[in-house]
Amino acid sequence: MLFPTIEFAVFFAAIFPVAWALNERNTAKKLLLVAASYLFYSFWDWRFVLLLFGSSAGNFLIGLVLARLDTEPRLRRAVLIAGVGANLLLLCYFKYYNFFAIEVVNSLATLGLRLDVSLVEVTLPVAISFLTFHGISYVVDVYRRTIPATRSLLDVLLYVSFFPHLVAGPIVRASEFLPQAELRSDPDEIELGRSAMLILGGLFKKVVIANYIGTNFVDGVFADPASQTSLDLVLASYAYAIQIYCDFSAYTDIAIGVASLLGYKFPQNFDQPYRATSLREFWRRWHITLSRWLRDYLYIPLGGNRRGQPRALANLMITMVLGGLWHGANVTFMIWGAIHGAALVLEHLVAGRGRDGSASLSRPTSPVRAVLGWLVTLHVVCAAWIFFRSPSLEAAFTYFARMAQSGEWTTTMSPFVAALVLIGAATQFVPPDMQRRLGRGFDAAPMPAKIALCTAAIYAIAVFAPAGVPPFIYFQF
Amino acid sequence: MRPPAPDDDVPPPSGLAITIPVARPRPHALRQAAVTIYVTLLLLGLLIPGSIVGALRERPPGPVTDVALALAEPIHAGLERLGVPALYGALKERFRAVSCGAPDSGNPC
Repeated sequence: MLFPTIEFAVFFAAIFPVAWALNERNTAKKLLLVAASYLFYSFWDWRFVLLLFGSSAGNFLIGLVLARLDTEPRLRRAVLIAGVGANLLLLCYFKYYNFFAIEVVNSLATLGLRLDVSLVEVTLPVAISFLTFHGISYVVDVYRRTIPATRSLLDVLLYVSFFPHLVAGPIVRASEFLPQAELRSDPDEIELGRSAMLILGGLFKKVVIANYIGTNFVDGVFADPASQTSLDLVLASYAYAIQIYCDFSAYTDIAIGVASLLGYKFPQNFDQPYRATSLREFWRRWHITLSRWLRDYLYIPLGGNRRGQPRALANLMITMVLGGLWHGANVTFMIWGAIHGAALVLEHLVAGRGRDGSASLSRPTSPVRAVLGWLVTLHVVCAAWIFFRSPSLEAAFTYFARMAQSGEWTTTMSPFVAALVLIGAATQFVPPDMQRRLGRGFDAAPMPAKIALCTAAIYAIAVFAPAGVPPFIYFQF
Repeated sequence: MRPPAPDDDVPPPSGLAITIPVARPRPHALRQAAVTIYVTLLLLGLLIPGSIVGALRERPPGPVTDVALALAEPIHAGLERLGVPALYGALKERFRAVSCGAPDSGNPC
């Protein structure tokens, strides 16, 4: 069930009044939301509902054991390792088993060794990565005593499975969600204006911008880069940057809006990433909840920058490569992560360190440096997207080779797609608080105006929509 | 000796880059949200009539689907007589012409 569909509209319209009717009885409301979330998940494959439950219940039990072992640091650590390991095992089995099995067999074959490893037909459960992230977040937060282990299985079930964030984030920390789940939501705190702007904006970004750019230009170019002109290849790399932003940020915007309408607050996930003037800034604006997850649950446990600069840079590189691999079992994702890691390392080395010993991170003071930094960052990001989007390493290299060698500077990009790319790009440079101001304006408007605006906006989006809605790009991760 | 430099790539775990906004209380916010959502959905169901009937027809047959279709189809037929779907179809066609260009433009719309 995708957000921009009638099925989801009906689903949400059925859940919304019942959830609020049960608001005085918080347990009943949570039961409803868990049931709704499991129903939502079962639309993809009902068999994986058991996996969802098993993962959540397992993490709940690990939390209880950690709480029991409060005075046993060694045992706690062992339980933590076992808990995180179990989560990762689940992820690795479903996502990486065949990838690593093939790589190992191929590597041994080059050494003249033959190894028979049976490959299994593994159906990748939707949202397996996000389940794992939420599970690990809960276990580690309990271990670190950021939150107490909850005695309510229901709260953990809701935290892991809550349908707005279940499939593609944002990655909400256990310490952000569980306190909200414990309390009754206040119906007077529904932010209708902000939610409406997030949902309507998200629908426009996904249904119109991302879908048109993808189906009418980017998909064709990436499907056969060898027969494209240089200009098309260049334009497609920019267009894909806009497509993936509009696609992914649309999902999380709608998720934040929907959750808010049900009384739960999610963190922001995007903040105009393509206006970043450095890679460090880019990662503070792009998929923010993944960046901080990687920082808190991978980079810092690896040692962060506490063991000197060489180790810090190595940790940064490892974090980014693993972050790349998280996106899928393909070398292209690892290279994408490695490009970002290498660029971040380079930035650290070039930026040097300030008087207090910390790397200078402030935004460039001179306009020339800001523009240069923006140009370099944008092009590193776009070049890395080519690996991310290409189905194989060979296809990515063909893409770059053809871009350099074709020498043909004609394009098949239609003016309409070009206009959509520009609109997508313009979203990066509007005032950052525009959405909030529009939300406030919406809140202040009389009821008929609110209804007219929502109806007209969705009607227009339906008119503009191409036939069918492809899944969100991040569903595959 | 200087203490280790703070990790500047990322804000400290306790001080998130992201703050979850605390909403200002709005009296009757729930009622306003409910009216906006349901009236909007109702209007969209009427203005894009094929959407509901089409979605129902795509669903596997069953008692719920059959009842819903039995309710939706007469409304759909009534709206067709009023020309509401025709307006939607005409707008969509006009937009398709604008977005795809001429039929021989080569754009795969």
